[in-house]
Amino acid sequence: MTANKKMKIRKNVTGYLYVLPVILGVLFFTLLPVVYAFINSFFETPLKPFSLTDWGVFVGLKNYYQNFTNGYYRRRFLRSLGVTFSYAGIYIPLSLVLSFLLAVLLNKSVKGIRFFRVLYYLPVLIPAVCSGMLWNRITDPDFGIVNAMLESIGLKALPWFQTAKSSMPSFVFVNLFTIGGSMILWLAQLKNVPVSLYESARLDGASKLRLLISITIPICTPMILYNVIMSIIGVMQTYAQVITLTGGSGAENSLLFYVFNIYDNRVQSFGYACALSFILFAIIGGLTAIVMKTSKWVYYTEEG
Amino acid sequence: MAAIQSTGKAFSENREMKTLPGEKKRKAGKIASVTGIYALLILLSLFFLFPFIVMVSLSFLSDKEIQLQVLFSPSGTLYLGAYAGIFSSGSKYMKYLANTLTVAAITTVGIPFVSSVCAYGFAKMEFKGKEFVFGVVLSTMMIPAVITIVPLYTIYAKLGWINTLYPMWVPALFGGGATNIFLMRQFMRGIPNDMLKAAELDGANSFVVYTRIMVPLCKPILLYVAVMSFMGAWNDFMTPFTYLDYGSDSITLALGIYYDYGPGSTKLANEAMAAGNVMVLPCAILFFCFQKYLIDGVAVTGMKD
Repeated sequence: MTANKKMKIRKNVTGYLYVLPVILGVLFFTLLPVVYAFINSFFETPLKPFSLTDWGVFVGLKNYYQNFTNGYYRRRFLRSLGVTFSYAGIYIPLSLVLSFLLAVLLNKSVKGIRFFRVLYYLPVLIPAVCSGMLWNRITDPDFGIVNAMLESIGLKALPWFQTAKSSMPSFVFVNLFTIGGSMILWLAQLKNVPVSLYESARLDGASKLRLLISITIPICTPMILYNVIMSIIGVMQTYAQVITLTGGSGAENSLLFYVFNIYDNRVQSFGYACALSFILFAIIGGLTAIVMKTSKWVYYTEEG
Repeated sequence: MAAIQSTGKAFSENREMKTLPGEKKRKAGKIASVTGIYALLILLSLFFLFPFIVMVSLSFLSDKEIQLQVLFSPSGTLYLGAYAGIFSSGSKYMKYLANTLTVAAITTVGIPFVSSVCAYGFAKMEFKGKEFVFGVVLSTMMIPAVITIVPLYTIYAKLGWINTLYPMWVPALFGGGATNIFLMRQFMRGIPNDMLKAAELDGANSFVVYTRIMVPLCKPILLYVAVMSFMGAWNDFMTPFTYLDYGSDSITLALGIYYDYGPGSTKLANEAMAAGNVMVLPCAILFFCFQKYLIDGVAVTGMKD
């Protein structure tokens, strides 16, 4: 009995020893900063080294509600929400559809198709900072090569990131080069569709389009759900791509994404930046919950 | 001989006669559709290769030619001065490269090791509260990075880590990231317990089982995590951007390129493109070497159990 008990304790201790690094990591690098930021979001304080005694001025919920009451903060806050949501609303569905079409094309069994798959994935490998620098250079109105190329084939030069109106479409376009990432996910999913399903449907005389709508897409729905949620989390945090491309928040703040407000305020008003990040957390959580709640369209096969 | 030939001819004629007109049409249709597919594939290749073509060809233009807004040198010369410029003695590029390599080397070795040890604990050990701890670890995947990256500044400032390389590799060694642990655990759960039991009966303790049985069997996933860690460290922009000041000694490639060649830089585009190419190259090489692992691995990441 005691030997048995001893053994059990030993088993527990060894188990915890293996997962100790991640427990410490979560406590120290996730939980501690999150809790510290949450407390700080109720104080008015500049950025300073971690301290449990010096908190600054307690302001209650001011950091949260000044987004709606103070004119300056409200303008920037609403602008950043508008920019972030319109980008998410355009980019997520667009990249989902385009990467799906791409995957359907690359799922054809013609010679050398593997080569093309690798080719289309390549732009994903370009680091954000390099792609930002590249597009910043080549869309320059005076020295950029893209407009020169457009003009040489008889098209009109575009304003790209120079005007507020053209900035968002340009940004969406530039990011479309990386849809190879979700294309790979689609391809893996397309391979999972049982061939027998297609065969029996074909015997019933179903057209190719019918097969796509009635078999392929329903079987891919779990992947669509996963992809949509991950895209929301990613897109809501857009920052590096914009700052490396425009050096700021775009012409007339046309690319003022949500995270810009957090970064721009974090030194002067750290508490406010913390409050903003918790609002973002709530928005992401809310959106994810909505997507999950309305996910009746997701079809789970029996194997899961 | 002639008889055989003639029978052969007759046979082929016979076969041709058997071909129905509809089948012929379908065949022709198939050839047309295959040609269509290739045409589309090649057209799309031009689109996806566009950034690479521009980056490479501009980097080989001379300082004079870069002003002409051309893609290829009109005189047909290959200018290497832009690359020489980056690696010249006055350039800070070598320092950036050394910093980036330090971080990349530590994380490439460290993350697969630490995450596989933790995943082994979750996959094959029995202990109280295991499911709870694993659930907490997984839920950290849902926390937006920006919510921790800003307050972590205060903690790093307290520790004296600002303007050092520590923020870029120390946290990575504490578990190696929830995604990696999740992937490794999934992989390890596929390894039958009987195998481990047999080794344990032979007197091997759990760590020996980990090093002798688990590590060799987990090679594909370890390799995948290692390559991804390297690319992650190599490309990371937000971490150095947040914790390093302008002019710091610890600036990595990603941040260095932003400061030296990014928006507002007065340096010429050929040198900027050359710098970008030098940064892209290692990742491209790694990708081509481990292409199969990576594409399969990426696909696995997208699926839930």
